[in-house]
Amino acid sequence: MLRGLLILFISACFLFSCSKKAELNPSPTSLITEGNAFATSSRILNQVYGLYSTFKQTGLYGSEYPVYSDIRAGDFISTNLNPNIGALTYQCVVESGSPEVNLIWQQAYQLINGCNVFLAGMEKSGRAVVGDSLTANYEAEVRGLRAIAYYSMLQLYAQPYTKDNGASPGLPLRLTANAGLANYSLKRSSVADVYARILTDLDSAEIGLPLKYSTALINTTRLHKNSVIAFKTRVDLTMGKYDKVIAEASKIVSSSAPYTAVASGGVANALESDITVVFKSPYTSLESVFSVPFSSNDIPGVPLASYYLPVLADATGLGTVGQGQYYLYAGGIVADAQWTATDKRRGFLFTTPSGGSTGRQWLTKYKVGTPFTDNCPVIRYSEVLLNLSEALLRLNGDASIPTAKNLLGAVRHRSDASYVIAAATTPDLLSAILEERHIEFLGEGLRNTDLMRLGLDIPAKSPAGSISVAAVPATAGNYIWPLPNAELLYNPGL
Amino acid sequence: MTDEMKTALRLIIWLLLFTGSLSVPAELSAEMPEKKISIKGENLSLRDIFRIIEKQSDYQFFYNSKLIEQLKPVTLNVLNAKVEQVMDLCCKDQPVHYRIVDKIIILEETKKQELAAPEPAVLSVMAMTVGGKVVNKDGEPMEGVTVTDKTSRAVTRTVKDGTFSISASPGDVLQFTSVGYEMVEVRVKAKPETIKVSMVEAVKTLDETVVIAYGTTTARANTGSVSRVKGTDIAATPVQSFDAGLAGRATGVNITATSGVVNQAPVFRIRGTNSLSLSSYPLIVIDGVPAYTDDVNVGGNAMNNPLSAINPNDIESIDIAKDAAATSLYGSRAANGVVFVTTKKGRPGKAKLTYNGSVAYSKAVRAAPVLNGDQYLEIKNEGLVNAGTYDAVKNYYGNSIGPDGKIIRTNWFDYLFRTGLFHTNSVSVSGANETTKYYASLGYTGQNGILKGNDYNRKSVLFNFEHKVGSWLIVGNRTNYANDLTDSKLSTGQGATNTAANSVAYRMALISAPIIGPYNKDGSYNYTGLNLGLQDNQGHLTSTARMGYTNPVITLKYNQDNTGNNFIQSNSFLSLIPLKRLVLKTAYGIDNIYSRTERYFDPRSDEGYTANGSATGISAKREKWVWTNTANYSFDVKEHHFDLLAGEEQQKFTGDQFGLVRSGQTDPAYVNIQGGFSSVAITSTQDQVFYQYLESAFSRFQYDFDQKYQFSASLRRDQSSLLGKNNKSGLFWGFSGGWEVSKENFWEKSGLSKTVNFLKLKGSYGKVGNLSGITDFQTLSTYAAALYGGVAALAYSASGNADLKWETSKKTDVGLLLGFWDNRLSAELSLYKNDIDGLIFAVPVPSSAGIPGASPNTVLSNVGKMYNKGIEIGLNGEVIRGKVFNWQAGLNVSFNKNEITALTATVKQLLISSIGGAADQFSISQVGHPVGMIFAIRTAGVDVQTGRRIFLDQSGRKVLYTQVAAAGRYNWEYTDGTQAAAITAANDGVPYKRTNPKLYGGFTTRLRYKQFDLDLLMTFQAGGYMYYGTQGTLMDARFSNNSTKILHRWQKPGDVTDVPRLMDGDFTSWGYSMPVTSNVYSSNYLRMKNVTVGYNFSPLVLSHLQISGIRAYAGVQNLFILTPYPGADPEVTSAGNGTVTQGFDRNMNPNARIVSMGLQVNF
Repeated sequence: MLRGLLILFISACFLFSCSKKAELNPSPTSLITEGNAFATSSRILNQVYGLYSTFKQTGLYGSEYPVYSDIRAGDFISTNLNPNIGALTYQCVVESGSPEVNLIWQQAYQLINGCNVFLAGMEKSGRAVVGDSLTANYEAEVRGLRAIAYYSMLQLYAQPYTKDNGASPGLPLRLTANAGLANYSLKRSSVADVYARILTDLDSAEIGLPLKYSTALINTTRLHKNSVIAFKTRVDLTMGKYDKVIAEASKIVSSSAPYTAVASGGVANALESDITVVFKSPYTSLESVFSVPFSSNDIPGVPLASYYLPVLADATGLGTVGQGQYYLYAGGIVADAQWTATDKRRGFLFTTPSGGSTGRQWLTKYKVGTPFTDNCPVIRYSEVLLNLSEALLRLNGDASIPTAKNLLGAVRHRSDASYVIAAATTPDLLSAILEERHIEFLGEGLRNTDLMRLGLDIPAKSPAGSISVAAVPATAGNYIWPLPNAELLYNPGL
Repeated sequence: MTDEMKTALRLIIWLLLFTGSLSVPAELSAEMPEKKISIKGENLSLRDIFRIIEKQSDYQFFYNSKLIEQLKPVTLNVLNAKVEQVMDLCCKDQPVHYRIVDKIIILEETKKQELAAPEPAVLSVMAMTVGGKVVNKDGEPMEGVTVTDKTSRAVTRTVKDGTFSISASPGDVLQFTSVGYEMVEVRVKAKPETIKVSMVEAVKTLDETVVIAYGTTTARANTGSVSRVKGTDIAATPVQSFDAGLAGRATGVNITATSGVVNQAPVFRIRGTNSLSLSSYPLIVIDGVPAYTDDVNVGGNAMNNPLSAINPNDIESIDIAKDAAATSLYGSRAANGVVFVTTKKGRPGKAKLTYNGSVAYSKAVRAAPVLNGDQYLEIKNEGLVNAGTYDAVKNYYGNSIGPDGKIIRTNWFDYLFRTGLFHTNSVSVSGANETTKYYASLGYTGQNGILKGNDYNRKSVLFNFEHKVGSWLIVGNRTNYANDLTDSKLSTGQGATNTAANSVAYRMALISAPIIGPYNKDGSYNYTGLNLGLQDNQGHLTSTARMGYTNPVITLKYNQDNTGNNFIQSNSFLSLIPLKRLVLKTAYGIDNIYSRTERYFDPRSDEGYTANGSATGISAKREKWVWTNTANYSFDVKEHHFDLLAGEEQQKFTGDQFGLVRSGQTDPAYVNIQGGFSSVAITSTQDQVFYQYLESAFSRFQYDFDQKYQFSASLRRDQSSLLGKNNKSGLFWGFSGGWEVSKENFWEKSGLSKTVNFLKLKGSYGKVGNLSGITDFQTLSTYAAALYGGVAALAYSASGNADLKWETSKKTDVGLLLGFWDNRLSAELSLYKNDIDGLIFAVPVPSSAGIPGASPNTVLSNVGKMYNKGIEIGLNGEVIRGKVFNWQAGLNVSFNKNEITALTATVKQLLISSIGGAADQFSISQVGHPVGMIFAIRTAGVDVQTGRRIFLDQSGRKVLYTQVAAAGRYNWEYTDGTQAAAITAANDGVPYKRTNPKLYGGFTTRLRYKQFDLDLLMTFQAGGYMYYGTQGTLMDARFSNNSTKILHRWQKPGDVTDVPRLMDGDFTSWGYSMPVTSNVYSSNYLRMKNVTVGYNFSPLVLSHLQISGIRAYAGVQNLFILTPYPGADPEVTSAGNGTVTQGFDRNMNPNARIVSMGLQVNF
């Protein structure tokens, strides 16, 4: 018996010491591996959506990019100067180690590399799965996202193109798929080179993108032909290429009111008659050219509304609460006398009626309480009209005053029908347009770019009884953000 | 008073005051000078004689008074006689005999048949039969004790009931020896007697069993570097898990008790930090099964140390293997050392029932002193004045009225801290006969931590048995089941939240303003949004919207946050012995943890405010099995002893974790995940699937010549699923040798051997690996599911490294073991060097590379080199060796030097920012320096003229900072008044100080006097520094409360101080958001870690109660600490067991001082 047991024992040992290939090379059950990610058409489509989901991470259009662009630009006051909630940006004292400087850069490049990896994967195996036509659509869409990411970063980390025609250092231009450990040393391309790439991407996106999708929801939340055209008007305006703004805008703006994009053959983007509709569920108005959606299953990291909505004690009568991180600077745009009390957009402001913060004004454009699922706007049709209006004036001067005024009027009058645009000269009208943009896009992250592209100083913020933040001249070092530590330390090519 | 009453009273007095219970066995007491008895008288009654004896000596009597009245009076005439002589005369020809136990003389009736044979008239020198009994210190019989007559060399052994009989002549010396016990010698007296010997466990450790990989050996024969800690040393301290009790107990082992948070794993290092990005936690092997270690995070605030599944009372011993020889058989997991935990097993003898119970009270010590209400008002208003924003009507800090109508003065510590209570009870039954050994225990431990809402309890059951079938088969099983629950209503800064978060408990105690309270005037809770409101300051204070963050009273009252586990650990084995010296063993073990985290956040609380009330449920399942098959063959050829081991092992770990967060409570009645909530999300639930598989084959060869020369070699091949597909397997090996010089003839003959009775040299070299910390599927490039507004999405989530392989450590160890004066002093000296090659670290790539992953833009790769080298010195001695008074002392000191010798071509330094989530905590690791140095901006005090903080820029030039610059002046200025660039960490930070200590150790001393014992443990470390991040918070010039240190602020020109001028809004001068050297302090300390006084009740007294032993003890943990570190404790960490991020203290809880009392009863 002993011998039998012994034999059994030894054979058991041998049996189990055979190499276990499968056990040693497991496939994860909750992750898709590299080799399979392009295996089916639905996976490829999911990957496209995956890049949008990267696009709406906290640091980008989840909230931080628009919020941080606004809180430095003079209209908001930090409630409690918390450096983890943008106080350093607010005070214009960010440095390479500041959390936001690292996060926005990091997440933008996560998106950019995600796009690059997708493009490479499509060429390698995806094209064979979905065919040339869908490949062209997807690749165009992804190039569009990559362009928006590069554009957004330039607004924070680089000098404006208009300062020196883009001669200043821009961003490391990453266009190839990165994976694993490799030499990623790369110098910064000039601002001009980065803009050139942005426009190349947007142009090719315009060619490859479909005119429209099957539902209004998809038309507002994915890029289509008109949305990249609209975005190009922003890029060109930022660069001061007014002729190009006009050329792009003309594709999607009818020559006379009511201004629409019907003639483009794509999504019939147009102004919504009531601006408040744009910021309400289902967020699928034709004005919303591109915005990113959230749902209660897919909530934003640090949501827009939680920054701007007041806390309970300050929100008596509002019906919704946030974390009250930033309130409106009484000396900012809210003080503008031209922004009349009857203007519908004043409805986006809430004044604390009682308690210690009586009289404080809060932005309520994003009004959904917890879990704060307001869409985050990227570009609206009203901006295209104002971009066009400004470009016409800057390019043609007085000759374009009537058209420019009409375009401006289209935006102003839908919110304040009785307002009379008094400006009669080009400079007056230009400042009226700038003022209109300031009112119209409050809390949408455009103000910082408007200041920078025009070489304006960042205005001072002097809240009553609290610490002032001095103005930042366009020449000052802190006019733009530094590169983050994570780049400075590990990219010897800079 | 009747005699019965007197007897009873005596008994009670003995029991209560222990007066009669001096622990000297009667036969040994002759060694002490003893009072002699002198009595002269005729026909004295025995009662009178006994009274006289009691007066003249310290003996006491115990007798039945009825019996004594029946006895004849005695005539005596003795001068300076021994008490025995007197008693012999008294009992002569009487129907009684006496026993003396511990100075108590017991008179007993002699039954007729027992009547002693008449004494021989003449004392004979002839051999006679001497009998007796050997017991241990608990009074239990000891079997198998060798009894040697040193004169005649006759030998016998004690039998099961501890008795023996041996032929000996009067005057012979009997020597009693047993492995693990102190030798006892007794001289045989002239007349036959029952010799009673009580043996105590040996202090000298040379012959103790030492657990090694897949077997055991003795310290004497062991060639590896292994330190042993006894389970009893740990069980007497109020810790939930044994690892926390190891501090200072062994050389080379550095345990950092992290903070006074319940169920938190300590930082555990053996011979320094041995990795950069992987874990430095050693492998813990419990009865052969590798255990889960560190914090098992199930998504809540609660800390969750899986090692607390083992009741420390069930631990027999802990063996800590440090060098390659001792660890290489564990191959790929051995680089950080291996800790073998052996649970208790039954011992031969009668069944033993043991009860252990203790209770302990704990209190936070050295919490930061903060301002009271009046000081707060003074400081804050001065800040407003200096900033130019003070307004006596519109902008000032003022008082508020509380619900009691009085001005509020709040000490927030009262709302957050409490006196903690720890209690533990366990009962075990154990025993063994020739064929079966068993041990079973039940335990219950409960703890209320020093922080409110921070509780722990554990119920555990352990069953161990081994059964021998004939001489050829042994089967056994150990099963441990434990159920625990850890509550942490408030964040403690680890677990789910980072240490810098607003809601961290200690931070709340520090920064909440003392001029507001948790309740408003009308009795309602004070909160505005997430935070504590201004109360009556509303309307006249505009510089802040809050005066604190979380209102802890709400959180503690309404919220729930706990993690519970069911642990099932079971290990069965079957050993076959088909040939005489061949042992085949198969062992199968499982180690499963089923965990559940439940959280409920009330909508009024900080935690639940934003979500309008939320409930979270997270479940996790961790299942692991290990199957080990070994064959062991040992044989001797003359003095040559060979031992061969071969084995194979498989280990698989599977499981998953998932959960839900529901928010938008629809009715206040809903407080759990099943209740009514409006939305559902899966964020913060750490959904994941676990999978790890390890397959190994190993062998070992051990050779011993005459116990003089030893050699061993081991080899292991591991294949792991964790590693890159191109590098699945690794080969690990070790060699070691030992030479017991003192066994050599030349040594024994030399005079030196009288002093140095034991001398052994040993050395080892080997290669081991490290992969702990590589997570499942980390080598793969993967895409993870995501959502885009609810639409399915798939996002590139991880860029793997198919080439990832083991981190390898080449360990060299040279050791010297010395025993002096019959091992009265033993010394151990080790020199070691651990060269780590192919160091795995998360190589940072430029952020713009866009590499995805859990920590983006890092790629785990085998690059870099590092070494740890050091010296360990262990001394153990018996300062006073005596049966009555014994004093042992031990000292262990370890010196460790760590240096990174190579990183990569592109990465010259590894800078880690935001440690613990705090923007001002930076660590840097550079070639040529130790890992994890503090990176900070240099400060140079405060400008005497202006009170501004002086920073030094990169070039060393002074830059002065002011929060609010006067017109025409600048926030940042050079000393000449010109504008300076703002100081930043990136531009101006420097690698400043090392964090890991240069030396650490412990000092133990154990005094035993009669039945009392005193145990002291001091621990110390020196040479390291700590970043006191909490100070940035404590000196913040916004609303938050401050350390009383701020009272020393600069106020007028000429003030010399290190506290700058106050200015509202200033959070720069003390580096709240950037690292400054003014927050760096030495972390040297000397701590009185443990003082325990114990008392062992006399077995005799107890025998009447059918108790064989009672030990009562009381102790104080953390009695005091001497340290230059100004924070609560130099032994805390913001970064858990992180390797390069030790030495940072941000909002870390103080540690507790613990007073404990315990009782151990053996039945």
